[in-house]
Amino acid sequence: MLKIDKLNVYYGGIHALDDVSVEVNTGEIVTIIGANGAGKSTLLRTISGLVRATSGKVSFESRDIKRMSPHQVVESGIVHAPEGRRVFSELTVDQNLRLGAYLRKDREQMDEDLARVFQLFPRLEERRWQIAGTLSGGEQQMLCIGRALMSRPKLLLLDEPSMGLAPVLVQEIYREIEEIRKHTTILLVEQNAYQALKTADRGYVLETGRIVMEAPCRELLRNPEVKKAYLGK
Amino acid sequence: MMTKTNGFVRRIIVFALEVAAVWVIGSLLREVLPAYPVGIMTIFCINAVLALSWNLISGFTGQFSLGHAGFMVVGAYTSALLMMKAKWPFLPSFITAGLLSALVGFLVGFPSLRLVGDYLSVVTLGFQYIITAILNNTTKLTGGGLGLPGVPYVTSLPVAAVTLTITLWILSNLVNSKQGRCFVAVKEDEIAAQSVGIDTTYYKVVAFMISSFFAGLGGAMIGHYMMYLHPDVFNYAKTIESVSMVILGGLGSLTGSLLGAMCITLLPEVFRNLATFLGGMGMLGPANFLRRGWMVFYATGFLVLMLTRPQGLLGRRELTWPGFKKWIGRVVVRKEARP
Repeated sequence: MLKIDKLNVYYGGIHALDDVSVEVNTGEIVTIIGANGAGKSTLLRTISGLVRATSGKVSFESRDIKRMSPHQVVESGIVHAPEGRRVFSELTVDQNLRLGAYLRKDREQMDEDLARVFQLFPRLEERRWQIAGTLSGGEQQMLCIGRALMSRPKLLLLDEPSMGLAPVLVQEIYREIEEIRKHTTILLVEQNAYQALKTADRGYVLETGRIVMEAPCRELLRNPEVKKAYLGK
Repeated sequence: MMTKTNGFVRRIIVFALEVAAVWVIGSLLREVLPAYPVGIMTIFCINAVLALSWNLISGFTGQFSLGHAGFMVVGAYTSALLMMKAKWPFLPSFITAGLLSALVGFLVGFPSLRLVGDYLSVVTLGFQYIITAILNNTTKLTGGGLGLPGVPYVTSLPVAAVTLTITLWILSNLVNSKQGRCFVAVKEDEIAAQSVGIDTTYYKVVAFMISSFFAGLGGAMIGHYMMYLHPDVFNYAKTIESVSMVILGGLGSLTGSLLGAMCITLLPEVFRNLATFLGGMGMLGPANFLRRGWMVFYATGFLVLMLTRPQGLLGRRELTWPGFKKWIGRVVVRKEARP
């Protein structure tokens, strides 16, 4: 579905991504784990067109999306739920979700999707008319994911959904991610490696801009190096 | 589908009736009242159009433009010259003025709206100085620094009031639509806006053009009101005037802009009248102080307001009839509840 081949990205003089190749197949959850500054978010931002790559290939459903601008990438079916809960804090929850369906013209289906998001995150329905800035961190994260789902993406890019959340909420978010995967392919970037590896099918380990390991998550969970570096055991 | 079309037609009809009513009331007031209050009301309408147009680009879309007077001056000279030199009637000149301002807005906005925050402010400010320089040096066409006398008087109270009504109607429909939500989304968080598929540059340019269009109309009205144009009328201070109206009323609130325009139009008049009144009472000292030093009160008032209510008088809220009724209801209930 998504194929990234030998991708190179520079931030000024810093080589942020170095020959990164990643593949995501339909129906999978693929996770990319790595330390702070390894280039995980950069990778997602490059896919969604927010950052420009210097060389390499990014193709989605065998279309080249490397040169597309962010809104064209969304049109092609990839939605990015960015890091740090970027909700529109002065708009209501309802307005936030409707903006998520910005590119869609079909009103009836939109209401259907709104219902689906509310079913997934009942808390959002309770807070439907509240200003998004007044939500708690976990609720904002739910809103961010819900908003991304409103455009019916084929591929959802999730950037650190557990960042800054209480452990109970992390569990809840991950339960919902399990639910979302039934309809949507997910590329998940996470510092909370244990959660990510438990949920995903395949994982990549990113270290200072390079992919150093790629394996099914079950194997990564048992790998002594991964254990030592990312799982703290 | 039928009901939807009918709803639209009905809204248009209601709007046409509103415009007609405003025209009639405006004409009546002009006949009945003395020239002084009519003049103030006209200036209020012009100022409100200018404030509303700045609010769209900065309050709703979050792009802090400091070149507003530059767009006003384009509209002012276009409309005046078309009527004077090309002998066009008022309405086409007026609309052309707005369109040309919008075009200039596009030319300035397209390359510069990729800039963020302060950089954009600097570019738009630079644009304003460039426009002033151009006007000062095209002496043959515009009179340059000598000014352009003999601009036909057209901006009577009904004309200004109707323009304000139309501006308000268009902008309130705009900001309450899907496009309006996109403007706010661009202001709130550009990355989040892009990640839901909004082409942020497109919306910034569109907001900038619409804002320039109405700024052009406002500028044209100024010309047709003062009957004289000079490049320096539209200086940096003119921009700041609109900016302070919007900030006073509340960034991102249309009725806030009206309120802000009203306060800033009225305040100097209040001080002027107070000074005359005190002078009439024989208190020449205080009267002279007020006449020369009212700016001190004005500035202090603004400072206090910004310290106590940084979001402006209304914040992002709007004054609406249902809201007003609710408020009245609450006040009444509170009074009844009292023993």
